[in-house]
Amino acid sequence: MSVKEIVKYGITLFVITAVVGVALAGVNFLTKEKIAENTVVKVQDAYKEVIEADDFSNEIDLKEISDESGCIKNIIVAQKGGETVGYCVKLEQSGGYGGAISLVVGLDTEACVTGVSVISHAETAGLGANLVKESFREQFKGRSEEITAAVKANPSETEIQALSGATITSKAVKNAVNSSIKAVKQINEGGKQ
Amino acid sequence: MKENKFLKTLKSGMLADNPTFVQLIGMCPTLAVTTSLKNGVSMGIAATFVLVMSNIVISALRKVIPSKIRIASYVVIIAGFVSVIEMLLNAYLPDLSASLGMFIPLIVVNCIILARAEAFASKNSVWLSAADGLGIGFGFTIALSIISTVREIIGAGTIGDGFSWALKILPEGSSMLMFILAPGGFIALGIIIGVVTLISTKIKKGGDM
Repeated sequence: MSVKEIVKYGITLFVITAVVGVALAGVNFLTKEKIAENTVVKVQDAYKEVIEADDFSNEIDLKEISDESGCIKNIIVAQKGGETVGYCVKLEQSGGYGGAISLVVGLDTEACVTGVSVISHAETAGLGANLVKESFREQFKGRSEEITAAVKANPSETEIQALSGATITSKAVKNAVNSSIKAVKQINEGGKQ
Repeated sequence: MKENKFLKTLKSGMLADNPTFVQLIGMCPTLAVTTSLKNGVSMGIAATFVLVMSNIVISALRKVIPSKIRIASYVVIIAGFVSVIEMLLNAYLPDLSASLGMFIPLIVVNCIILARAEAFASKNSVWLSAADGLGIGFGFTIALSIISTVREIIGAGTIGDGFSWALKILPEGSSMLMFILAPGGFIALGIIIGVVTLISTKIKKGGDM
């Protein structure tokens, strides 16, 4: 290849990538805000799904509790009619099969789980991805004590039934719920001892 | 004449040049995605969309892109398209984006798109390239639907999981889980390709009589 050819190809490639790059930057700029809005709506919807409340504007300062997992990102105070009815714990739970699972655990003031809502995940389709199914999430409702294990069949009172073919995903969700229960119990006892 | 060529290209993309059953390309996403009918169809539709758009653009630019840097150019254009579609979906159709979710970035590595850009779009008119994109895309979607139906029924015991009309076909726990995992994917794919080839050979023989 002559120098002339190298320059010609280099410039052509540069132009193509520049045009695509500008198009990408342009679309990114145009959609950035809308995407951020959608995420906020999604999170708000998750809060409403896990607990009956209408006010989620107050947050607990995470310094007041000690979370060993490090996965708790926000603890929202759920209020209805001015009264605190519970909490929404938002986690980026590590240990999912495909990476972090973003979810919200709702609990009442007695640290009793009112619901679990998955915001996003990267679990295997047909297996771990079934974590969004109601039948799996339902199991966590009413729990106020640490869940000891996720088992394949016949879970005891302190255990939950794991998703078929997805024990890693199931354990991650179990851990998220346990962390949330611990956190709310700490709040009730007046914060870090 | 133009009308005939369009339909001919469309038809061959779906049948004689079917990417999955005849050409055996795009095997990776095929195996990964056919765990349920909904996943298979969603991926097929998304890939078809990208395929048609990239075929059109690459065909339009075919006289401008120098042959020596064509692959790099195609990859940049295709990846750019997929990213743009992903952003637009996330912004304006968030629910659809949540269902298709991880499949959209996967399309970038779907070699069917690059293969068609190289084999067809770079050598044919925009109109015919669009027909090829549609035909190959439909062929891909049909193939994915057949394979995922088989794998979902045998492997999960359901059909249509994720749709409102989902049905449970096998009793709980009796499905062969292996079929929605990797080994089952290969086995199902191989058997289905064998059956399709058998049928199409018989049809060809019958036509020659």
